Amino acid sequence: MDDSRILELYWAREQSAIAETEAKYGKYLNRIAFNILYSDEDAEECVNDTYVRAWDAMPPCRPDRLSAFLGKITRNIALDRYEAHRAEKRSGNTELALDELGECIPDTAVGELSDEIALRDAINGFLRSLPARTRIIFLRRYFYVCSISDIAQSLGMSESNVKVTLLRTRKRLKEYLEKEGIII
Amino acid sequence: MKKRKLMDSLSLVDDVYISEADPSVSVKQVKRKRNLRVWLAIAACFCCAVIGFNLWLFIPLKHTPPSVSQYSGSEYYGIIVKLNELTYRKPSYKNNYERYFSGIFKGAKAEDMAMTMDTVPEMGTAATGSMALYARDGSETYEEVTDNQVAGVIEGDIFKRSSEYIYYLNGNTLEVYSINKEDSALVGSLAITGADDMRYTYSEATMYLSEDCNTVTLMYSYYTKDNKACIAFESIDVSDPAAMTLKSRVRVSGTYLSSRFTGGDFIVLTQFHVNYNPDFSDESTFVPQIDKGDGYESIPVGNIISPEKLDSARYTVVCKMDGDTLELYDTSAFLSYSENVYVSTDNVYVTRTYSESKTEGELTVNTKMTEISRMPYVDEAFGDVSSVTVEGYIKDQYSMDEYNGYLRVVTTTDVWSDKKDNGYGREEMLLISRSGDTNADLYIIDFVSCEIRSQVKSFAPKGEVVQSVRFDGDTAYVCTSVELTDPVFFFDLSDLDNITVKDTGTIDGFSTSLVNMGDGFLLGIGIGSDRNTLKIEVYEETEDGVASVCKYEVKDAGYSTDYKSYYIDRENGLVGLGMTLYGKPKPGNKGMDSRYVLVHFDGYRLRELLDVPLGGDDYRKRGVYIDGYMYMLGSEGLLVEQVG
Repeated sequence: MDDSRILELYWAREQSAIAETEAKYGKYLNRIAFNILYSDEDAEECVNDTYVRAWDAMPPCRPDRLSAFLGKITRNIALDRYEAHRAEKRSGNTELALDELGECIPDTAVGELSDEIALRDAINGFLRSLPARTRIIFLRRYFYVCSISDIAQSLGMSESNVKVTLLRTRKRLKEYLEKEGIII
Repeated sequence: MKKRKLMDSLSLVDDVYISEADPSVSVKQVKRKRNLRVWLAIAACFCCAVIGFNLWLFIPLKHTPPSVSQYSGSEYYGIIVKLNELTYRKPSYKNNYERYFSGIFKGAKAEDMAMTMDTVPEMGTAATGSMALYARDGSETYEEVTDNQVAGVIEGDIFKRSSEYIYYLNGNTLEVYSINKEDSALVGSLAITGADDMRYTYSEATMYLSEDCNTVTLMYSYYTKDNKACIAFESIDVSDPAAMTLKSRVRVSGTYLSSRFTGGDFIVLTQFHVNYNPDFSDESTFVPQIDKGDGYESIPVGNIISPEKLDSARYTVVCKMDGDTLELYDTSAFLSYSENVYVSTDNVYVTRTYSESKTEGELTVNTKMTEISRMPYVDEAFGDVSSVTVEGYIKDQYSMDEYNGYLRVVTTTDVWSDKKDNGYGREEMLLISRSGDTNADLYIIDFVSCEIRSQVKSFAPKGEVVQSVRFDGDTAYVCTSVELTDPVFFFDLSDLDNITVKDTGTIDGFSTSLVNMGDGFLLGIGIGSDRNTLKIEVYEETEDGVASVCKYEVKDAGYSTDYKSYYIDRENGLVGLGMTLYGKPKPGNKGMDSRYVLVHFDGYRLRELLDVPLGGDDYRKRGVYIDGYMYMLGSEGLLVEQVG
């Protein structure tokens, strides 16, 4: 079913909206959640929570890209759940991704913390400046929390190539955020 | 905490990037999708191009005149509307396929061939005189050598003279010769190099010599570097023939037609043709323009006389200029008028010939008509134009003459019937038969009341056309012909209520020019018993008709029909003209023997005085008799012969 039709179902408060969403995006959302939580059970719960949040959000929300909208909800829920169970369950992938991202935090320590809008604009500006392939690698790693080997395989690259690309991109992100005066 | 914040911030990334990086879609798939889109776009473009190309090829070309409403704000809008109808030429092809590709299979179309323009080689640069100085001593006087139609109205020619020098336009070079019997010599020359924008001259120049013999005025047509037709009027200082210099220049768009010098001013007549499908956003393509030295300006619309219905997209432009400075006093343009013009001492007459049609049963009867318009020019500005229409068409300027306030005109009448049919569903009517008759009329026109005062209708035998006309006081001489026989008519116009006519009856040949030799004698120059015989014949009025007095004939000879190429000396009874004898080809002359002949009329007979070789075209040969010597000019320069 088209995204526009699914959106209409949400806005008409039709229960079938969730079923249609699951049919179309269930696997996609499950993969996002699993990449972060590394647990089928947790991932499934996370996806179910996503449907509930989507039902609550629409209306009034009418996203342009339903997949990205749902993916972001799933990711946020999964990250929250990961944080809550961090002590008990440590999925190596997510922890690694977080550590790697830590390298991107600007050294600027003085000044007020940047607000969410400034941070969003800076990240989007940075992504816009990247070549498409580098951008895909970066987001697969830090948005979808995919493993290096998965990324390498799906893109037909060697793992070392992916690693080097990510290393350089992180370095560039740090420089970019510093230049933009972002304080985290 | 900071790591988490940064991690969370990635949830704020634009949806486009999130979708782009979706792990469930491989990059190859993305690429494939992108490639598919590119190929689809290319295919769509190709299809559009093919469809567009086919539409361009096969959509029928427009066959109606384009709209000119966008020029409604122009002062020339009325003229634009008329010219648009007249100059529009519908495409000769149904569509672009036929236009561009039919030739590949069928060969080039005849229309294409016909539209190819002839090219004329570019002329060379100037060569100036390099002789010793020939300054004037003040005793030099102007001598008239052109046999002007109207006394006091001087006509331009390639040949003029003073008491000391002969001026001759040899092609595009002005040559000046001293008059000194056998010792006559070239004393200076000046090549016509033209205006800065000139590409090449395409017509022969004509010239005038001022009364003080210090100035020669040249008039010639040329093509500009951007292929526009122009006429240059140049004033040349010839006070020192060895060092002639340009004094002033005026330019008019169009082509040179005729000119006169009268009362110290020039009356210049030019033509301006409007091409097919002109660009009406550019005035220079459809309005005659004049350059007084500071760029071309269109003739004001108020000075353009235009009939209700146009028959030709051609202007006859009449300019009045100061004879010395070439300052332009006034200009008038007659749209759709023909090239026959006549200038009297007071008026300019221009003509417009057209066909009048009426339907009689299944026949269309057509009659040739001529509208004659008179424009007074005595003051600096031209006067009001008045017009009268007569039946028939006019052969040349000699068919018109102003005398005692009346314009006298001889026309060839032409009435014919067409039978047309479109029985096969043709788009255009097909002419299936045509029949008609010609004859000649004489009209006496009063332009004050714009009425015909007197007329003699159909005075010639049926089927004849007017070959030559001369008016002399109360007498009109007319030669008509059909094939190779001609009567010569003498009209007595002394009583306009009772015009009488006498004629020679049918005689061999016909005269292409009639010249009054004085003492009641009329000289006819023309064709004899066969088309290859030159005939010079003298006629005289008798009690019961017109009789031939004597004639001089040369077999197998060609001659010029340009009246200006004849030397007429009434005082000495001399007639001179160039001729070419045709015989068997000989080494070096291809069978043509170019000559100049001088004959003498003593009241009884014509006697040959000179027959000498003189190179050049017959219409460009000139001669003058001075103190026992004949000075003859041709392409090789001056030839002087003593006349016994």
